[in-house]
Amino acid sequence: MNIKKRYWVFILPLIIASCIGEDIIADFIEPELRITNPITEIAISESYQFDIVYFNNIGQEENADIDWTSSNTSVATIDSNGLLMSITEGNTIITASTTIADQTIEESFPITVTTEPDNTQQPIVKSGTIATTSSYLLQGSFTLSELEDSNDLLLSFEDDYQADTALPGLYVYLTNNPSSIANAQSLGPVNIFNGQHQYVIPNTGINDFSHLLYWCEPFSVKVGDGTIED
Amino acid sequence: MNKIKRYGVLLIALFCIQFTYSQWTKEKGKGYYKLSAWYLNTDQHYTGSGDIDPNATRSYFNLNFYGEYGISKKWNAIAYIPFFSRTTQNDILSGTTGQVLREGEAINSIGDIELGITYGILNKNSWALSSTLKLGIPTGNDSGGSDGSFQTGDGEFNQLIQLNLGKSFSISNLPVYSKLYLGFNNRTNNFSDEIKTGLEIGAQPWRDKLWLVAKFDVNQSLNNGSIDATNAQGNIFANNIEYVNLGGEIAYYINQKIGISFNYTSAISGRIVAANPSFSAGLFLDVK
Repeated sequence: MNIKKRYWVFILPLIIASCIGEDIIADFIEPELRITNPITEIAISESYQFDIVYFNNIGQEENADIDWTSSNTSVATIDSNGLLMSITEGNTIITASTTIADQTIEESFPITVTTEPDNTQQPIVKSGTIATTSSYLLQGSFTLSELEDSNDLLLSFEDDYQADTALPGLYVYLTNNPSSIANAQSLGPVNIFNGQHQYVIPNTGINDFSHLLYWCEPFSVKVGDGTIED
Repeated sequence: MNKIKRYGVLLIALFCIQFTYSQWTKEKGKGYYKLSAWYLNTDQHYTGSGDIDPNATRSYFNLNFYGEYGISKKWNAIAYIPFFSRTTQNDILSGTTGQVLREGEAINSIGDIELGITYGILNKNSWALSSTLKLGIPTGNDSGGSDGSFQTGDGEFNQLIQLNLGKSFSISNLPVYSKLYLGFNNRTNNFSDEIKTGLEIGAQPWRDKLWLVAKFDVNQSLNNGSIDATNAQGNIFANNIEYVNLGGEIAYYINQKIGISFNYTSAISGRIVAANPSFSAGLFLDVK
């Protein structure tokens, strides 16, 4: 074997090794049905159209055939499209369900039919706490609230918020899968690393996402997360 | 420069360590030249606190030329030219569905060139003292890839001044040398300056045929650079990098001038640096 051949014997494996490979992440979550415009009360002889989304086992929105039922059809009925019709005063449980791959997923919630429903449309406010899932510092509490007269949301962090400044390329996302930024909505790079600050999130529903996710872009790895609690 | 994203190139700079199997400066007209392929595949890194965290797998590969040439008895010219550099990141796949969540990427380019000069201060008996000035020329790509983090250069001009002290001796009739160095790396563009030091020991168990070299390197940041995440507008940076490296090299002389070498280097501790070993293989010409 001459020198040139020997050299390529050494170099070739290194060149081949520099090809693009595959990384696999553990991103399974329990599938979920979620009402994105919930109500708890309705007046007699009114109708209301529920919107529902099926999130699959990676938190991705997917079409599904939904079955709707009312536990007390003398109080209210609901059709196959999720249209609720109230009949008389009383309580009922509305259940939406779907079966995918032999697995049935349900979402149930109570509805009160009343003569005087609470029609004061207050902006919904949710809250939560972010925590690190890595070796980098990340902590703090937050609220996510609807902005009046708009389709926007306001994400506000409290005084106790802290993030590590040593981490390159830290971004924050809204997501339905806390292990992945696939199908997530980016709120952009993190520029504030200590104390109160806010993000205005345009054209987003308060029930569209379940988690905040902090993600390091160059490492493509999760740094921390927080569940958005009702 | 805040918009420039610097991460991976620093990994390359840290692990591309050259061995010349001696401490002494080359005589006039003599030289040492090596063509190498260098490779680092990293899926974890030392964090800012020194812990190890995972990351998406990236690989860094380059083909480089390293040369030392004796301009005179006391002056040597040094060049490190990574004439082909490739940075890749793996596809990210869902473990649940198998679908590609994020496409992998790759960029190819020239890397950052280093040019330098060494002056032999003292060469007496078995001792040698020399100083080196090395300039890091920002010839590489400092913002490649979709997020700008696929670099083959850091966009920063740095100057390293270094003092090298060496001694040759023998153990059981085996030729052995040791080298101690201490350097100051002045970095620009608001990066922190660095102190570099290390120890290298080489032995020749098979006379004129085989060198075994071990190397210990330390990079300590002076933490005097202003760039960090708070002023980089969310872009990627890597400042205040620190590491302790252990490395080893085997060099086999095929004949009196030509040989092949293999190198392994790994950080045993660090901050904001890859926590995987790098490998290289080279073909060298040693004109004595």
